[in-house]
Amino acid sequence: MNRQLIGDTLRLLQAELSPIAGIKLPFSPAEGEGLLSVMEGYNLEYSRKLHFMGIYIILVQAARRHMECSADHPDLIRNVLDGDYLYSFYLQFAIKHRELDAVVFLAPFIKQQQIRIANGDYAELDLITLIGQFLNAEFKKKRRSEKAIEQVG
Amino acid sequence: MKLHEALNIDISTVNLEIERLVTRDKDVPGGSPLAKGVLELIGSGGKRLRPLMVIVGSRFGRKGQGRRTLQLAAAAEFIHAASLVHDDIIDDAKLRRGSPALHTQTGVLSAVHIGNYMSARVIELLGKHAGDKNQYVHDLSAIATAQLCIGEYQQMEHAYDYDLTLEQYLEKSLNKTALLMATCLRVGALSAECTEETAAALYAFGEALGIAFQIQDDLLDFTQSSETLGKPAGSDLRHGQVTLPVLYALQDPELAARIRCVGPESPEADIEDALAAISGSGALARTEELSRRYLEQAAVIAKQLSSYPAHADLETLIAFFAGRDR
Repeated sequence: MNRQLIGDTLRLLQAELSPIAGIKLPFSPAEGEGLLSVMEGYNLEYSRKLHFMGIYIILVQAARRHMECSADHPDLIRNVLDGDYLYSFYLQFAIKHRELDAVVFLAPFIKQQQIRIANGDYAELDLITLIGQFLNAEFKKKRRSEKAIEQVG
Repeated sequence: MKLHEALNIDISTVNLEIERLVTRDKDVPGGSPLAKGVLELIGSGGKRLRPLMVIVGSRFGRKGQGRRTLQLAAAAEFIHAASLVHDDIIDDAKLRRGSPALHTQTGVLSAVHIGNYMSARVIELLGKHAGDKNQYVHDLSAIATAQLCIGEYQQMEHAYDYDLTLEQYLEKSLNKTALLMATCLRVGALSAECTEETAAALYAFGEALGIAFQIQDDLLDFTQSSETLGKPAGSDLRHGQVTLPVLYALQDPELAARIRCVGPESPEADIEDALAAISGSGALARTEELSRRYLEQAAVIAKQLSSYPAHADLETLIAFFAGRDR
């Protein structure tokens, strides 16, 4: 099941990425385990799990491409462009699959990560925890509105 | 008269809004290298074409320019400036507007992430108030930026490709330059509750204007001095970019032979010879003619919008673009 979800996500991403960009997404199923276990705590539809896995893969890959940008790197140009394209593709993907709330939630954290790296602090962003926090906040909000409806009823 | 004056736009308000994107960001300490780098970059000049286009677009809406419009105008400049930071790394350019390029001061890794910060800041700011009904605010960061990258990929793929077709050149120009301008007009219009039909017409106008702009940019690389350009003249061909003057010159067999010998390892004398041959040919006049045709196409669309008082602003933009190389 888990392998299938990651495989389906990668196929979806490759289908939506522009062929002109020619980006391949090296991502092993083991890398997705952490997010899968976080998502298991919520009653998410298969398609939503796929979209969150997609967001996670795109952001991880974009950050990696840009961390590989040094003046003497043989693929410097490709790394700059791929990272740029993946960050804009992330937004396109999230909007297309109606996960704009997740974009709004993640935006300050992604921005802060860029500031840290620009200042020489290269610690990775804990995206899995952040996506978990988003799902938790969403779950609580849903519960609150369900309770409010019950009380009115 | 400057363009913003001709358009009756208070540029100091626009500049203040652009600066506030960084100075009002509580995550960026004032005086930090990042804040300094961004403020120097946005303060180093530029005509603010894209923010002006956002504001012009808003004049076609029933609400006119509001807070959201000004935010989008600032966002457009931030996205453009971020792309310039990354462009300079890609092109290994040492100068930007006559000053040292950002990556030469901060190092490549840091500059890449300063550019990323600018893009991420825009998403953070515009996302705060964007609901399902106004997702258009993300068009600048999502669609226009992705297409800009696609244009860069196309340029990279066709470096030193002297068999590039005119269609391929125009598609690259559309992606790399014109779509961002078209999106600026469209999002500005939608921010003022303009109709979808008029927003689409403004988008088409921006596409035509943007291609004319890119063609003129290609021309300026042949006609302007290094001092005026703020970078070495003829640098497009030196970097393998097959621009429109080169495409036209390639149609002359004698010139084609001199151009086709230019490659990544060519001696300076061969490049200078090719540049001189292109400049001395009719290729520049033909390039100017095609730019003029795109401006005429833009003028036709502007005329279709003549029921709006703001259509005069579109004519002002056309007049400005037509006089850009003189």
